[in-house]
Amino acid sequence: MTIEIRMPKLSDQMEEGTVIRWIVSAGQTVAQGDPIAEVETDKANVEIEAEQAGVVDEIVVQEGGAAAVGAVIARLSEGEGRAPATSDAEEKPPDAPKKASREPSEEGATRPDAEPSAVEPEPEPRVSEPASRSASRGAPLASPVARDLAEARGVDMSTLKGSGPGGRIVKRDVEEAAGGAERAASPAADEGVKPAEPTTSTPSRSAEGEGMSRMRRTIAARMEKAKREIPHFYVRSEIDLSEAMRLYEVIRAEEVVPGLTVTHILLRALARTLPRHPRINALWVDDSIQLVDDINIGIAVALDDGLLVPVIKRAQTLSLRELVAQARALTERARANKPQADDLVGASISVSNIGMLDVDELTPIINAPQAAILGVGAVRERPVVRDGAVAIGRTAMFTLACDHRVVNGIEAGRFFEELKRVLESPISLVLEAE
Amino acid sequence: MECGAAMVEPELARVRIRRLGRVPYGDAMRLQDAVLSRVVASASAVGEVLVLEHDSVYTLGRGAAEEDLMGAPERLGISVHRVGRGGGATYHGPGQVVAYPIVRLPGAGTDVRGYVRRLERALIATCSRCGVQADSKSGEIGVWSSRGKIGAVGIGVKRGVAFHGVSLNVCNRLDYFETIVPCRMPGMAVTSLERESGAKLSVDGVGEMLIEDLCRELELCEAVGSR
Repeated sequence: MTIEIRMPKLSDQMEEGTVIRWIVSAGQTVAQGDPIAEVETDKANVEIEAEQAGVVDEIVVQEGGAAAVGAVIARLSEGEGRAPATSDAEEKPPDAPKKASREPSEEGATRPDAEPSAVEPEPEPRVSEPASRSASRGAPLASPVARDLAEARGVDMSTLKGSGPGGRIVKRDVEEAAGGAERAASPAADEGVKPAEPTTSTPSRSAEGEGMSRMRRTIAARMEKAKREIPHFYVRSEIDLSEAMRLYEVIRAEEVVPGLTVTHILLRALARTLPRHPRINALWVDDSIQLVDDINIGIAVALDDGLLVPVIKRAQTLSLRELVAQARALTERARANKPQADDLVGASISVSNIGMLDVDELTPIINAPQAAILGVGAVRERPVVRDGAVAIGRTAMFTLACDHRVVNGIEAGRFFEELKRVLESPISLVLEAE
Repeated sequence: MECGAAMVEPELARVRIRRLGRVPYGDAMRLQDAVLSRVVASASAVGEVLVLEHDSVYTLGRGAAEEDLMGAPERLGISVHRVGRGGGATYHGPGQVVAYPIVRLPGAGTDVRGYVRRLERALIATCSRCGVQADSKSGEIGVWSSRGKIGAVGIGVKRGVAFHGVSLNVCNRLDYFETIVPCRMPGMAVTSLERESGAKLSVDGVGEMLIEDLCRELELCEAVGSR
């Protein structure tokens, strides 16, 4: 008879829970009261237990999966019913595999004397949705290590020829078979048995994160939230950078500010302009506006499939030379993906400049909790009108994305006006901080 | 229904309070495991509340994504532990008071949310005594004051016994939170009692208040000389 394990109702208001961890795997025998899974709800991680003894037939909801209260998350067959996955259950008392393998690894997961910064992997044996389900009558001779490994790697020991004493299967035999077996595994011989996710041995949540860097995941989470929650509006303007470019070229030629780029001139303009526009240099925290006294500018730095936003601190106090030095150091550390502890924190506004690419404009997503981000496109030669005549100027498109909870259109417009004025007559930018 | 003035005084469960001071995370976990095993083993066992500070550590709930740490542990040389509580990534460290009540849940563990809400109420009460107005948020677990999250809750339940518990930022460094995605909430602001109140507060002093507030909310009384 099949016993259905259902998502328990752990409080009156609970509607669904997430299966965080399967303590048992398909084919395993459980005694009544044995912990079989951990379920999460309301920041509580609750171990659920088998109400009856049986053999785990099917894991219905995989780790990381959510299920409504009352939904079936696994099926057991009563008693010793179905043939278990490996010969273990026939040879060991029902409790043995769990007691032997679970508890020490549980402890291991919290031991400080293991690798200092490593997240310990989950216990190996629970990977063991077997690749092959042929029950082995007359189990082959095998060392305990080989047996555990075979279970963990899903190797059917009845197909192995032992190379140990008396034909005993040893660890090496299983290891050799494992590679091939994993590839050739035919998922289901028995009815109703699904193959396990191949990735359930990793501590992170199953296949969804596979092939994605942690940075990618973080960017995904942050951007999704920001785009969903922040009421963005955009102010856009073409700014004539002819003078700023000339200034840049002069400074470069004179080599007075080592490593200067156009971006630095732009950052300098922001540092000078923002103190008069506090709403643009602000945060939205817990349903309220926080003005930030310092101008801390996050600069988006592209990495291979990633992005870091190191922060120039107190930019309003820096000379052009200091600003360049700080920006370069931050950028270098970010590119090497070795930012220091406080490189990435405390930004009050961000800039994303893709002017090095052949792209006209960039409409960015705000980096919460900041209230604004400036996107900058490439500097190009474009027609501009000066004193009633068309001339060729070097311009770039600037797009300021603002959080409307913090900034009104008029404030964004005024800020833009001043930024434009400063960049179009940039001589003030080479003077020392006011 | 609880705490009604007209209700019969509830019978308080006896509990042992252990004031441990600063404890490396792994040692605290070993102690917690040992206590948990003892309490799980017998319905009449006296529960314990471990009150302590940790050395700097990042922890991940069982279902948390490692990516939420954003590489901070490697960069900052801080260790990581994946632990059997609910919730995402967080930081513990000096200046933060942590309490792990290892107690049998009322009703054989059938009201997990009720227990979590009690823990939140204890945190709110302690904040209030320190002059900081804090509250829970609907749809979220934890305690927030005006400028950010100030107290966190994350528990585990094994055979009807709760473990792990609460942390409250007293005067700890907050930048360690900023380098990660705490509690699965990107960009979430985190604050401390000291930052909110502007007052100098001791972790031990706040810890005593938290013990009182936890005992009241969880209907516990300190067992003298138990065990």
